[in-house]
Amino acid sequence: MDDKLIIGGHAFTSRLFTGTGKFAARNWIPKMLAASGSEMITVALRRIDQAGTPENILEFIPKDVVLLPNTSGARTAEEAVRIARIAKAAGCGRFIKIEVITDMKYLMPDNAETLKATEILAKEDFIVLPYVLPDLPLAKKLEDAGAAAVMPLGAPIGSNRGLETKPLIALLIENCRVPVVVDAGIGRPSQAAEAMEMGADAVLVNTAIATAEDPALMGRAFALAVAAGRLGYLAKLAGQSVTARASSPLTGFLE
Amino acid sequence: MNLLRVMPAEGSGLPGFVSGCDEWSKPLFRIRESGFFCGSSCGVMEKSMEIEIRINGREERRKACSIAELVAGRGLTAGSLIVEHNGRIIKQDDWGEVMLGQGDVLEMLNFVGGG
Repeated sequence: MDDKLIIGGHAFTSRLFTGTGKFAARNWIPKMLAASGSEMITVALRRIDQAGTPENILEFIPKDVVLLPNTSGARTAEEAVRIARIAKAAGCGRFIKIEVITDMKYLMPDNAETLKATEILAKEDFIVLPYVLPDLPLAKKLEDAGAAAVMPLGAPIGSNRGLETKPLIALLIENCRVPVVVDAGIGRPSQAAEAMEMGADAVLVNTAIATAEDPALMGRAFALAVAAGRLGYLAKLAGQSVTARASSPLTGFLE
Repeated sequence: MNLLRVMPAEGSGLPGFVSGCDEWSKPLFRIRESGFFCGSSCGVMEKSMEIEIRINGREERRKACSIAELVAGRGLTAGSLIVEHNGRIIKQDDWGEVMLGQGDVLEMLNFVGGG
């Protein structure tokens, strides 16, 4: 079945996007990518640690995997724009995950600054994927500003609590023209499947995979869950009812 | 004494000497090590000259040098290192040509794991 996800002109077969943060050893990253089939992965930009040799996370990412640099560390739209431009100039491609955060306790994205950054970067030939609180009017503004997708959070970053914002994400799925990628908070494969079943176009999972005891196996588990959830969505879920509806005939019983 | 020749900014059509007399330390000019005198009245820049620069937010006093020399002097390998000089990304191939001047702001960055 041809069920590619198109974002910014790129066709993705896998609807599982992954991240490079928090791995106990970086050589898990290529193993996880191979096991999960994930075709896009996030990276972050930081000042070097002047004491040691700079870490090169890119060495651990196969060339056919699309890089999604994030603007983490940015507290304003201006900072996000600067980080995005540096990432692109450094050869990271056109994709950018806009992440603007001032709240260090819950790591909630600043939607207003994120919109500003999206407006600027979408005009500069970036493929802009803004990380946001699920807010439908904002999502429509992001679309109008040229966002290539919207990435609402399911729960706070790294919290593994799943789809706490489910009803709000449902509104985005129902009403957005651009793909909806559930980013942050997904802690288990079943939660990823749940997001896909409800019609999310993809999920982005970092912590739940990277901090599992076996990140490669967990990557595979998430890939299967995402694929299963997607198929469930495409097959159109059967309806629910309060009372039972017999699946065996209620006639012709033996006496 | 190690002398430097001041090159005019790209596109100015004035190779080898400076026609006006802008302050030599401004990043308007690219400065190459060459052993020639500066062809203007703005004086000769000595390599031993001390400059103040800001690297990753920290003020430092050091001898004037190129980005390549700064990187090598810190025992860093170029690898995936990204250098932003006064708000502009400098390609690794150009590190040897870009001299650091008084008041310059440098960011030394790399990609790390992140979600």
